[in-house]
Amino acid sequence: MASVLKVNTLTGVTTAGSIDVTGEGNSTTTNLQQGLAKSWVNHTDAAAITDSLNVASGTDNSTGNYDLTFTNPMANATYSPSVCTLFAQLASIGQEAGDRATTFYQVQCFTRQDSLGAVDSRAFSQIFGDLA
Amino acid sequence: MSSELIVDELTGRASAGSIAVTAEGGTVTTNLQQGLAKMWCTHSQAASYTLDDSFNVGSIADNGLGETTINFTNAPANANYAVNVTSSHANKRTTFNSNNTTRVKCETFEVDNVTNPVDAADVCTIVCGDLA
Repeated sequence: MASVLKVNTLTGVTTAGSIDVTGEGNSTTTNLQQGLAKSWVNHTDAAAITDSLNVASGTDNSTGNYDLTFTNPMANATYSPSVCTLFAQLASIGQEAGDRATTFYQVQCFTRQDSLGAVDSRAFSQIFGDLA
Repeated sequence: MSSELIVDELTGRASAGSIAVTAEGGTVTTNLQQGLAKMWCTHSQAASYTLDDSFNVGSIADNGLGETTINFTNAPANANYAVNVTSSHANKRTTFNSNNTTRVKCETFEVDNVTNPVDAADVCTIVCGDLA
């Protein structure tokens, strides 16, 4: 018989923010908190949020240049964003110092024909890292 | 002493599909269900269109050169989820071109020829969002 745990909140005993989960191979463990995406977002070409986790707002800075602001900040700016856009256009995170901070990160979109040509586009991001 | 919980299934008590998890910093919580990837897969478009590994993928279909349909096993609640697609070629880029609650379509082009699709190997896809 399968066991079902009904619970509202999971908190580590030794460390509140660290719970081990036995991996698929039944031998090693992985970390529950570290494995969760801490943010994801689907936003329009004008930075309107279509759906998201832990994103308070989007800002349309200029053509193809968007800031996504977290609801709950990250612990540091070394988190790992993955970004993607449509129709073979390019998407990247901001290249300049300060484009990725604990409170926000920048997404830049470029045309499929010219990687230097900014273009407005729907884009998608997923963030893995540590919450503050 | 560490505590160990042996369980087959986690369900929210107040809301079945919502469990809070204390985050790394020990202060805020993030949402377990929202943070889990709802689909991922690695497939090859080259030659035989093989699905190498996956989670929540029922099947893939070859739509022609450089284009794949990835069909969900369990459907998302809506089409507002965040998709990320990448592939293993420096001279190719893979993005997605349309999505709905039953499937994701992704397509690959050469970097210097964005009008003609080409097949790629190791096309990697992640979906974050809400399951139905």
